[in-house]
Amino acid sequence: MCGNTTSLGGDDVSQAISVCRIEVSPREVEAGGDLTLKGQVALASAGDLHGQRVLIEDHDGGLVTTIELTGVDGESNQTGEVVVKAPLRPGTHVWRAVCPAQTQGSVSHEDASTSFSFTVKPHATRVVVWDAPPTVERAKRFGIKLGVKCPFECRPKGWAVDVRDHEGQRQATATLSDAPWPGTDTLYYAEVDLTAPDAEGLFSWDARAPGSGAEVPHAEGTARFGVRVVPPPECRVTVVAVDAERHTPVRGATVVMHPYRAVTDERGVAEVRVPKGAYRLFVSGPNHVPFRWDGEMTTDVTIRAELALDRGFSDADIWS
Amino acid sequence: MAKTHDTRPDDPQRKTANGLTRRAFVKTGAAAGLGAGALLEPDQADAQVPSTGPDDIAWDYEVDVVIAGAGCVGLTAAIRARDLGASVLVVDQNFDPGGRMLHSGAFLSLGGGDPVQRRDMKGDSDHEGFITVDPVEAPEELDDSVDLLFTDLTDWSVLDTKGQSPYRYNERELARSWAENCPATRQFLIDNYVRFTRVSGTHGGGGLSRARGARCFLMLGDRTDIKAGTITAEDAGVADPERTSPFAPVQMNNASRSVGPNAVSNGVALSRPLEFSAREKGVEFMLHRHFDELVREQPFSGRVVGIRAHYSPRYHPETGELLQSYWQNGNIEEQRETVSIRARRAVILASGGHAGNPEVRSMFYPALREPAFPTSGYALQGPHGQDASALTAGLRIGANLAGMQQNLSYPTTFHIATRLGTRDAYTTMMPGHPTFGFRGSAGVNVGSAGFEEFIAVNQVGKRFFNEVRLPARPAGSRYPGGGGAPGRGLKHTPLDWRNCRKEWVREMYDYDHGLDAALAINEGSTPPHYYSGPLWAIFDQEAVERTGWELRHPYVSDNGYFFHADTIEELAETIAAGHEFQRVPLSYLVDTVATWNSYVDAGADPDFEREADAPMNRIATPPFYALSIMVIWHDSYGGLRVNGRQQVVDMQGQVIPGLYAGGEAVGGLNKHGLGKGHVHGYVAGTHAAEEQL
Repeated sequence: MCGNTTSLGGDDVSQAISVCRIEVSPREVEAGGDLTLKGQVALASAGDLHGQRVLIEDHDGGLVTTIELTGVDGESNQTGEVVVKAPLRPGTHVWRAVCPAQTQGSVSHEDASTSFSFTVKPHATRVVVWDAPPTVERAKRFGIKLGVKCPFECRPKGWAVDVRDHEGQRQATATLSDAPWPGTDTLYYAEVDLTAPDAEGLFSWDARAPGSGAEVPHAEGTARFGVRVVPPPECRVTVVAVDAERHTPVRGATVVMHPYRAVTDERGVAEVRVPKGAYRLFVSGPNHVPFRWDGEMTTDVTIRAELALDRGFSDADIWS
Repeated sequence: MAKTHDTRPDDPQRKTANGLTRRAFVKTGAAAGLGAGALLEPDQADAQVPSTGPDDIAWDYEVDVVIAGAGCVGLTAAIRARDLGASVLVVDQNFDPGGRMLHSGAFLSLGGGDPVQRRDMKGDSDHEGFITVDPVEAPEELDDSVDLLFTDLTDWSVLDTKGQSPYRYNERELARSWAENCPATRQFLIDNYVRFTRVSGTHGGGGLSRARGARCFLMLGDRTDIKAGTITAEDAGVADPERTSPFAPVQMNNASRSVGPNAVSNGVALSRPLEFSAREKGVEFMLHRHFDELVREQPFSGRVVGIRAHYSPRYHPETGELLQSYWQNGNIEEQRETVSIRARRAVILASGGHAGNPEVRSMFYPALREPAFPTSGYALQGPHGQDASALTAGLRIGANLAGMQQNLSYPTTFHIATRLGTRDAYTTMMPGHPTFGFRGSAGVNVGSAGFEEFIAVNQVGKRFFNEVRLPARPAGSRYPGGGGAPGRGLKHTPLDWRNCRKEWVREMYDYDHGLDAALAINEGSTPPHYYSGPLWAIFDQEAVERTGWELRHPYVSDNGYFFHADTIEELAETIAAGHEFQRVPLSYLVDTVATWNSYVDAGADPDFEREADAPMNRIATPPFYALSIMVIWHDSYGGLRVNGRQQVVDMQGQVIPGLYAGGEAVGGLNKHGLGKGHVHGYVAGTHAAEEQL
């Protein structure tokens, strides 16, 4: 809050102190986002400034907007709320509100002004990575999809996004599409081909949208994803998923022998190729209770997974 | 049939009514041509003083028996009392009779050698010949008696899989009376147009020794005709998989396996026939009328002589019009704010329990003071459903309580529903019933298996339990075993200490406590209530493609219980902005999903060991989704204390004259569901009608 004006008297006109205050919300706002301003002018001697306007000036003195004083609340004149667009430049901004000089009856008010500040943040950049394969063999090529979204109205089409490996080395740079990913509103995406590390293990990579560069400043956005490099397979596991009661194939069942995954076809069959070792097999759904098998995989094998239907709850269950 | 007072306001009879003696008043009412109920003027109601005698009160209506609540207890009691010659007025806070019976599964467990047990033992069909399938249960499994049923209901030795004792705390007189009246109640229901399927199993709390439960059914036909036992496919809600009807708030189920072709079953086949019969026999209904208080001669002594009830109109959620009952014959249209109704013989409290009143239910589980979680069927019942009105009114005049701890000794009093994306998650409902708009979506029933497809997070976006185990429900101890007793079915030995030997309990105990984790204090809980907040299933587009979940109307809608977004960050923001009980941001959701995806990659969930139960799937493919997960407090077991005649008993063990209660309004019989209520209604209706004028 800041006050201004002072001096007194002429022959028949007295001068009074007035105080001007601006409320700004939010105090932190995204670049180009909405700022709500509301003003208050308090006079040393009661007076109604209804219809007068408070000027809002930016840091260069440029007029941003004016706000009309709409009523008296006790000893203060209140403005309505006005929404203005925040600057695009990130950082702290100091603006000024000016209540121009005016005379009411025998009372003269000089200019009253106050400064107020707020902070502009760059837009967030949200990155999504999907369709990374659950496993990849050493030094083999694999693909992922990545997407970028600005939570505001920016459309990041054409942005460059880097993919970096576990050592921070850039492995690829993708350019986002001109159209959003199907089913999303404004998630712009790219398909990226990558090469797996030449060592086994689970590696944490990331996709990084550098931010800035666009008309509206954006913060850097990052999404991590796992790259699991596995040895060559030694055993072929054929899973046959059938409904336990009807003995019919279960199509679309998820087969997981971590980290290996597959989905059954219309015959209820899925094939997983794995190195020798101990595994837990899950065959699951849809609408079936997961089938679990634990064992050692040493050779090619066929496993019949009889899945019990998830009947949900019967009337008796629901009403019990 | 009662009708509004047809005399002029300046009628001398009306002017003197306020000061008439009881006898004179009745005579005046008769002289005015009144039937079962009589309407007085609002200014007369204003003169009432609760602590004065009945003759000093300006009654707006007067009947023999007043019943608060038109559900399973109320309709049964009303018909029974009417059969015995009493005039009966039923008030109900809702716009249509039926209570929760109407949206129930109509699984009615009685026993004691009841008529359907005997019918099935002989392999007979029903008397109309609808049943064409063989009995489900063997004759020896149906060979029941009142004594055996009573033994079952008071068996001290039985525990359930949650380690609770469902039978040992039952009030013995109440249990005996209930058992003795089961056969007669079954026959009574049959005599009032209720058709029962083959007996199959038993309801929770109904004993372990015999099969005692049967569902109610109607036959699909060209017209809906209660007397003929038929219902159209449209009325049954089976003509269109995504629509139901004003007749049936919940679509009826195929009952062909327990009846024969074209049989359909659920609460409609129980509630509508009873309502039809009640109206046919002259029972009167005052709907949109919430029971508030009992009028007793003195605050804590003397007879209960009537009730007061206030206008509780329900309006159509889309049109704004006053909702109307499906049938209207026998309805008394009354819109005054408060009316006083005199009961010449008795008042029967049949207005349900307290599952819809978070303040009352928090007496048993403080975490469930959380208002985000409703009772079952809230759309149908409205905001006053199961609001503890009977309990509140009874306590005000000195009634005692019974079985309050039994809310916690029934395994599924509250549980996590598998229907997601709707607040009214206990049952489904489709467009076509006028209250559908109150819930806005039918919800997506993902089943128990569906819980492996998402992560479940609390109000701050943190996981809290192994998702796969969240919907698991501990089995109730009931025939043919339910997991609670070492001998299943006929091998069960009542009153055997081995039923609860600790070695056996260790073996059979089967409760995961996921519900309790869901209700736990978290970073978003604040004093004084420390609400746990809403729960969310978070998943991605790949899960939708794996499961085939239909995320469209009428299953989901923009009603604050379903959200989707391009990113997890946006999903969290959308939930926070759009859900009525989301009081804090889901600050942890982004990190939770990232952590989860790392667990999937690693093949292990160190937080909750999901890898032991089901596959784990990344949540990575946009768009992303959130469906609400609801904790449902379904029903109530504690309540007013009653004796074997369903008379309410006070704190000194004395009967409160003129006051009866049943169903979820009472405690002391840890028997689930409709069977308890119907027998209570039958007993209460019998004795209420026999009260001396």
